[in-house]
Amino acid sequence: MSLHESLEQPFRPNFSRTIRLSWLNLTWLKRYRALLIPGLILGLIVFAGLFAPLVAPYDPNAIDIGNALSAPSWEHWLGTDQLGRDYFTRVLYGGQTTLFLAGFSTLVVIAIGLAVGLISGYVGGAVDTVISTCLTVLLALPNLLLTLAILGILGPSNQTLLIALIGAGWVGHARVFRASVLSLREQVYIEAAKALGFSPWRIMFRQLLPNLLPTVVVLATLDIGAFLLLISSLSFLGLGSQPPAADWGVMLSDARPYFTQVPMLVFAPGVLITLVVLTCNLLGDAIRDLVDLKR
Amino acid sequence: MLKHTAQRRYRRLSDLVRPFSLVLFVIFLAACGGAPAAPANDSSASDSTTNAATVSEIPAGEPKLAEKQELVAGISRNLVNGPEDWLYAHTSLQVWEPLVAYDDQLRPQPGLAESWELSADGKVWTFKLREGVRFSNGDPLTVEDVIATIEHFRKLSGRPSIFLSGINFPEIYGEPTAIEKVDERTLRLAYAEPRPLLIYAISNHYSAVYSAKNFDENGNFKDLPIGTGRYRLVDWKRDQYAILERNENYWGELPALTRIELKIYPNENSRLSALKAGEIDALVELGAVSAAQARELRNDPNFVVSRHDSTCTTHIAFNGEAGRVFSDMRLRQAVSLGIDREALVRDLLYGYPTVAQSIMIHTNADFFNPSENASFKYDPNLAKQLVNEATQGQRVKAVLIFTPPGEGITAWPYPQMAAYFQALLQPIGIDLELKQLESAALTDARNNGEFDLVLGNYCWASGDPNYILGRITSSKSNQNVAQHGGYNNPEVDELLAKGLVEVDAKKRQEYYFRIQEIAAQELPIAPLYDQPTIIAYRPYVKGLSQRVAYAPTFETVYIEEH
Repeated sequence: MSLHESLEQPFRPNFSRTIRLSWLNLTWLKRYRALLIPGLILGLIVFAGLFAPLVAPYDPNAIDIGNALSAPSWEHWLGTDQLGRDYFTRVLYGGQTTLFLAGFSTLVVIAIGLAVGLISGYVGGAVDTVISTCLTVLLALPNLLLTLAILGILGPSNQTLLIALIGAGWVGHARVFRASVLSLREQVYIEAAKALGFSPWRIMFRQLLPNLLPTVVVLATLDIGAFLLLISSLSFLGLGSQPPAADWGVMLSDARPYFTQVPMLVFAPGVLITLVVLTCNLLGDAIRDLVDLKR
Repeated sequence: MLKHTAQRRYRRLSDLVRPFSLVLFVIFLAACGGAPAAPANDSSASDSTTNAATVSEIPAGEPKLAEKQELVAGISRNLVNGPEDWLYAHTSLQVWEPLVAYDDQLRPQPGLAESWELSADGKVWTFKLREGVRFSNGDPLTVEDVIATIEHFRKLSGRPSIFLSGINFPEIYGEPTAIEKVDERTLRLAYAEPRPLLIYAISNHYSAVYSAKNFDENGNFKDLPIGTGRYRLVDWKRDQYAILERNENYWGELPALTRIELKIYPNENSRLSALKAGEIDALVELGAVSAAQARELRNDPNFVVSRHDSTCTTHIAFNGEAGRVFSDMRLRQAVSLGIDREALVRDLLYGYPTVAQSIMIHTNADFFNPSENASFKYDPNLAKQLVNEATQGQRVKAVLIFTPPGEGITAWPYPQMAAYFQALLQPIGIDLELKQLESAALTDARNNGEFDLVLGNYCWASGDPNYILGRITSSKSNQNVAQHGGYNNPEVDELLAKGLVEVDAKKRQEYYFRIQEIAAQELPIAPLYDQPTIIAYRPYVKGLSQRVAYAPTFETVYIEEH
C-alpha cells in the first residue's frame, strides 16, 4: 500500500461504517428497523407509480361520462372522477408524475448545490465571495415567490415546473454544502492531501465529496418530501400538470367542487401525498441517526 | 442522552404534522363555511326560478323585514371600469338606464324612451323621452343628455373595454346623418340608408344614458357617473368592491334595498367559500356559481340556488385559414357531429346550460330559427366517415386551446370539457393536443394563428341579429380575418348586407333564418351550449332573480329578518 493509498483509505465515506455488515447475522434488522416500515410504504408507492401501466386496470384518460362520480366499487376501486375516469388508475398515474417531478428535481437540485458548494467552499477567496454574495441575494427572495415568478414567465407545464423548482431550490443547498466544505477543509487529512500535492479536483471529489454524502442523503430524503408538497401546492394552483394528465395536486384541486359528495376524490391523492412526505421525512430522520458520527 | 431522544421525538412529531398541512388546507377550503346559517324556513333549496316581487308586493306583517335593507353580494368580475371607459359601470349595477331596454326574449322595451317610431322609408328614428325623469343629482333628463352620451360613444368608438370589448360605433349606430333634438322630449336620428335594426342594436348597453355633465372634453368621465338608475355608485375599487346606494331621486318606485355592496372574487372557490362563511348574502351575476358548485349547493337547505337564461354562449371556434386542417368543411362538421352536446350538458355541466340549437342564442325570440336545419346533431359514425373522406384514412392532428376556468363568461370547466372532447374525437380519427393558456396568452395564440380549435364564448349585447351573426359569419369580421377563422361565404355576406337594410320584418327574419341554416351546415363555429347564469343566496334574501340582460333584479329584493 503506497502512502497515497493509505492516506486515502480513511477518507472513504463514513458510510463504510454502516455498510460493513454481518449480513448473515440478523442484528442488522434491529439496527435498521427505523428504516423498515417507511421504506416499505414508500417502496410500494414508488413501485406502483413506476409500474402504473402494468398495475392500472384502465386507461387513465378513458372517459365514461355516463358513469361519472360513482362510488368505489369492484369495477372502480376508488370510484370515478367527474369525467367517469377510473380514479384508482388516475391516482397511480398521478403518482408517477408527482414522484418523478419530486425525485428528479431533488437530484438536480442536490447536484447543482453540491457543485456550487464545493467550488465556493474549497476554492475560497474571490470566487467564494462572489458566489456567496449571489447566494445571499438569491436567498433573500422567498422560495415560493421565485418559483411562482418563474412559472408566470414560462407558463405552466411539467417542464417549466421542473425548471422553476430547480431554479429556486438549489440556492439553499449550495449554502449548506459550502458551510460543510468550509469546516471539512480545515481537517488534517485535507491538509495532508494538499501537502502531497493532490490536485484541487481530486481533493474535491475524492476527499470532500465522500465526506459530504451523509448530509446529501439526509437532505435528499427531506427534499423529496418538501418538493412533493411544493409541487402539489403549485399544481393545486393550476401551475403544474396540464389536462388530461394529472398529478396529485391537480387531482386535489379538480376534486374540490365534489368534495362533499365524493370525498374519495380528495382523500385518495391527499392521503398519498401525506404518506409519501411522511415516509420520506421518517427515512431522512432514520438515515441521519444511522450515519450521525457524533452518536 | 435522554434529552437527545426527547428532542428527536419532538422533531419527528413536527415532521409528522407538516405533511398533513396541505390536505388539511384543502379540507378546510372545501368545508369551511359549515357555519350555521339562518334557519331555512319556507324556501326550499330547489332550482326554481324565484318569482320577482315588487316592493309593493312585500307581504305585510309575517315574515318580518330586516331592519336594514342592505345586501352584500359576491360577483365574479369587475362591473366598474373607471372614468376612461366608454360605459364606466356595467348595466348590472343599475346606475344608468338605457333609452331602449330589452326583455327576457331580447325584444326592445321602453326604457328612458317611452315610445319610438321609424319612418316608412326606414331612414328616420324618432324617440319620445319619458317625462319626469331625473338624474341622481336631481337634474331633469333632457334630450341634450341623450345626445351627449351618444356623442360620447362616437368619440370613444374602438377604445377597448372589459364591457362588450367597447363600442364600435359604426357597427351599432351606423352612420347617422343627424342626431338632433326636435323638441324638449323628442330626439331624432336620421340616416341616408334604411336602418331598421337600430332599435335592436342599441337596446340596453349601447343606448345607456348619462348626464351630459359627466363628460370632460376628452370624452372621459369627470367623477363618479351620474345616471338615472335606481342606484348610485358611491365607491369602488378594481378587483375588490363596488358600493351602491339607492338613488333617492329615482323617477319610479323606490327599491327596498338602500345599499348594495358587491365584492369581487375572481376565483370560484373563494367565491363559494365567502358565501358559505357568511361573508356575503348572495352570489349574483354572470359566472357567479359554477355548475359543479350548484350541484353541491342545491341539496343544502341553507342556500337557494336558481338558474336563469343569459345572452352568452360557449362554442368551439376553428382556425379555418387556407392550409389548416379545419379549412376543410367536412372536418368542421366531423367535430360538430362528434361532440355529444346532450351528454356534455347533462353529465359534466349537470343540466344547467341549454344545448345549443342554432348559431343564434335560443332566448332571441325574434330571430332564433327553431328549425331542425339550423340545429346540430350528434352522429359519431357520420363524423368518422367525414374524417375518412377528407383525409383518405389519415388521422387528423389538431391543437385545442382553452383557458382555465375564469370569471364572468369564462367560468366554465374548460380543462374537463377539453379532456372530454379529446376522448370523444379520438375514435372518429381526430387526435387533439390540449393546451391550456392564460387568457392573454390565448388571445395571442388566436391572433397568431397558433391553434386549430379554441373553446370560446360570446355574449349577445342585444337582440340585434346582425351583431353576433355578423361577427361570426361575415368574411370581413375580426374573427374570420384577424383571428384566423377564415370563414367566407359570399351568400352569407349578401344576406347580412340585405338584412341590415330590410324594412320588412318578415323578409328580414327570413334572411337571418337562412344564415343560421347555412351556419349549421358549414360551421363557421361549432356552438356547444347557451350559458345560464346560476346564482345562489341565503334564504332570507327574497325576490332575487337574474335577467337575461345580465342584471340581477336588485329592485325586487328585500331582506327578511334573520
